[in-house]
Amino acid sequence: MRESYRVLFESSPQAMFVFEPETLRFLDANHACVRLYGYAREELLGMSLADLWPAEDAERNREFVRTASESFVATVRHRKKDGTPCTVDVVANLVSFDEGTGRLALLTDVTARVVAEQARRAAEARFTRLADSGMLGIIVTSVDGRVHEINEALLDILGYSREGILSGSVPWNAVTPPEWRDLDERARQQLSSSGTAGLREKEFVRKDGSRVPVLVGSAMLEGEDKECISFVLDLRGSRQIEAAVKHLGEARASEATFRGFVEAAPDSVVVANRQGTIVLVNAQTERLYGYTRDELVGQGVEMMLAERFRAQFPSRLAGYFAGTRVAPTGPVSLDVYGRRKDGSEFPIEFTVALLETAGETLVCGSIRDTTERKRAEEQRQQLATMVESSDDAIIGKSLAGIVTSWNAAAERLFGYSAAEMIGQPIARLFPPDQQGEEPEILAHLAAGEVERFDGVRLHKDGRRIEVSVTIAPVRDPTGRIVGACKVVRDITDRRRAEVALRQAKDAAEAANRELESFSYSVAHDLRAPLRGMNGFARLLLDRYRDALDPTGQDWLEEITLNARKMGELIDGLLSLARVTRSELRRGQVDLSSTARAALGQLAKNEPDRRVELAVEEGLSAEVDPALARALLDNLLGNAWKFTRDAAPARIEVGATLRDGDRAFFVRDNGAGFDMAFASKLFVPFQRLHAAAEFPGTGIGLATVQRIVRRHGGRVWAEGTVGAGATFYFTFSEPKRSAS
Amino acid sequence: MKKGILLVEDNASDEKLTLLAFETCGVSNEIIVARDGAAALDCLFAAGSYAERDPADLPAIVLLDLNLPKIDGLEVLRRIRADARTRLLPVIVLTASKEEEDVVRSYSLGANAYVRKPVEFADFTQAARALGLFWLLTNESPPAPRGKA
Repeated sequence: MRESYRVLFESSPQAMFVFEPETLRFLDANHACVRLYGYAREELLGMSLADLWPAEDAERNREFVRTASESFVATVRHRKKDGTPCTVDVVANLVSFDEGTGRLALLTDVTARVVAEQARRAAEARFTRLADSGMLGIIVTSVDGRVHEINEALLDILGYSREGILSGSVPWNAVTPPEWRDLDERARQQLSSSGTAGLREKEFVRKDGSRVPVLVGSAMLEGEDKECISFVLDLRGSRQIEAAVKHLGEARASEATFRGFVEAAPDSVVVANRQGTIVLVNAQTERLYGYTRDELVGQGVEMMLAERFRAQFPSRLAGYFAGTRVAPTGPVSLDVYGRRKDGSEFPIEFTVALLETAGETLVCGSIRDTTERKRAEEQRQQLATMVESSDDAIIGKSLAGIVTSWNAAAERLFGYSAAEMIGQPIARLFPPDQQGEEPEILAHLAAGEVERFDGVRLHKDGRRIEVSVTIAPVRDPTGRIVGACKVVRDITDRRRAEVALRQAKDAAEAANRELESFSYSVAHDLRAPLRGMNGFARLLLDRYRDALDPTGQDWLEEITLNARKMGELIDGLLSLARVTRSELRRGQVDLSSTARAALGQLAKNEPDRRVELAVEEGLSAEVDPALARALLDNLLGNAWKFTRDAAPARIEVGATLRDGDRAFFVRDNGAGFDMAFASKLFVPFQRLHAAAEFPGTGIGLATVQRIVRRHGGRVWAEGTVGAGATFYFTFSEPKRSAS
Repeated sequence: MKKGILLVEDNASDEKLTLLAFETCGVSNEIIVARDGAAALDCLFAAGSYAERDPADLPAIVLLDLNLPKIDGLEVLRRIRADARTRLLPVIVLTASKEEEDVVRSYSLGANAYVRKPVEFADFTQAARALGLFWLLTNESPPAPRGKA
């Protein structure tokens, strides 16, 4: 070996030796090698490689070295001078020396690594055993909720396949119902701030949709992966607790293990002796009750309960012990109330189990706060009651149109029982001619739309039922639409009533039309004889006046007067009929100028009257122009007539806002009227003033009301005797529909 | 010589009243009365019981009721306007109806005026006077048609 290489060889921290390929005798060894094996260099030079091998490996190693190529790498077991075994990685190369050929081996002690590896494997095996024990659900997730590992026990609890969970096709967040998500979120925050999350009682949604109460504790795993491990205890029944307690008893090899187990228990755990004196509590108990350990240990276990449950507790406990003397019984769960240090009470599930230890029998009580569970249960119960007691049929169905729920009202409406319908296609309820509806409904559903429509469905007995249907999509916790909720109401009666109403309305309208055409022709035909009566009476007066004494003349006057009055009545009837008969032709009408025109006509007829007029500018509405004129003629004619004795007379036309509608008004300061008779104002032929006082036919306001009603509006009046009247009227917006 | 007035009226009372109204207000033209639509047309076109009339001797105006036996007033009006001889003849509709529809149809068929018969005789007289004043005195009659159509 050249001198330069020798220095390198000697001073290298890497253990190295050179051996003769055939005899395996050591040709050289460096300091590091001496340190590794404990042999002096001189000792080594008198030995062979085989002397380092444990006897059981010798044969195999010899064969390996003999057949090895020029260079090889191996991990082998060696024995040090003091006999301790070690494991070394060997990198060997064939090298040429002055003295001949040798193999240079570089040695790395990997004993520590191997031991660590074995320890890790053992730990893993233990963990796997725990994980596979079926007692506890375990899941490892990333911080963002991706599932990395899940054990069989948890898969059992959830009912999903491992593939479903690990592939992400079942999002982990989705197995938690919405009302528990806040709790989860708080746990997540706790996790990220402190590395562990307190125990939380919550629920999971199983694959079959049922819920399972669970207790979950979580902690961050060490390492850079930011993984979180959660332990899940299935709270259905007591099987798990029983198993846990049994396990506890077996595992109670040492007090420390026992305490550790109690501490690790997800529930508040209180251990008491036969006398019911608390001997051990865990941190969960302190947290739940607000007591410190010291305050609890030595007290009677009944202090965990609300006072009203305390008295009977020791005797129950005694009875429990008595029972176990004959035959061991399983844990017993009590639904009672707990009492915190601050006096507040809360619902708990108190599960008591016996713990047989080497020395004595202990009572292990596990206490769970069931506030949330009770609340959720109550809520669910309430909703279920509402659905069941609803008068409307409430039906759940899947996206494939299969019935998933069926309430009592649905039974009544369709005649099928829940047992008959659940699992059946909803299309069974569709009449043959409406089978096509379902795909359309399902399409709307998939789009997330709430739909309302009226339709026809079949009763079990084949009867057709008129129904109104509301369908809303039902989403799973991730927001995916998984089905629908249908609310179905029987509207057969409503339909029947509607039809009857329509028929009655048609009949009434027909009768009305008949009556109007009758009154129209009567009005025409009545006028002719009136003309005769009036005309000849008038002629008699004009031409034969001298043949009559004043009384006869007066009577003839009466005849002409009455004939004229009757003519006016007939004219009124005619105009009233015309208002109803004529077609409504709406257009934008300037009511201000219409009012002024009407007032102008009145002023022209009675040029001697002095009336103050105030017509607001810009009044307009979309109405029938002829009817609007007739309306204003009537109202302004009245105002004109009834202000005869007012000085100064005043008539005002304007618009105001009443009950959110724009109301026009005609106001005067005339004779007014008594509001007690306001309801009679618009009745045909009803008059509030004697004809001798103010002449009139009693048709005008009836006509006004008809005009307003034809426009979909209202008319009403306010007045005071002697202080004037105001008539308000509104028009509805014209209908824009195609009809 | 004054031209006549053709009054087409089926109601005897109205006929008398109309005649009296014209008399009262001093209209002295000859008034020929036709008591149904068919008679009115015969009279105008010198047919039927009016065959010996001179077809060129048309009345100054026709007072036409609408509600008539046999041929109703609107049809009479339509035929008057359809015939070249009477196309320009002044026709005044004199009726009990004041239905918008009747008014519109009368005018669209070529009525020269539309007068509603009032109940009040004084009003009737007034209307007759106005009619006579305008149509018989003020208005320039259309030239008599030459020859036959």
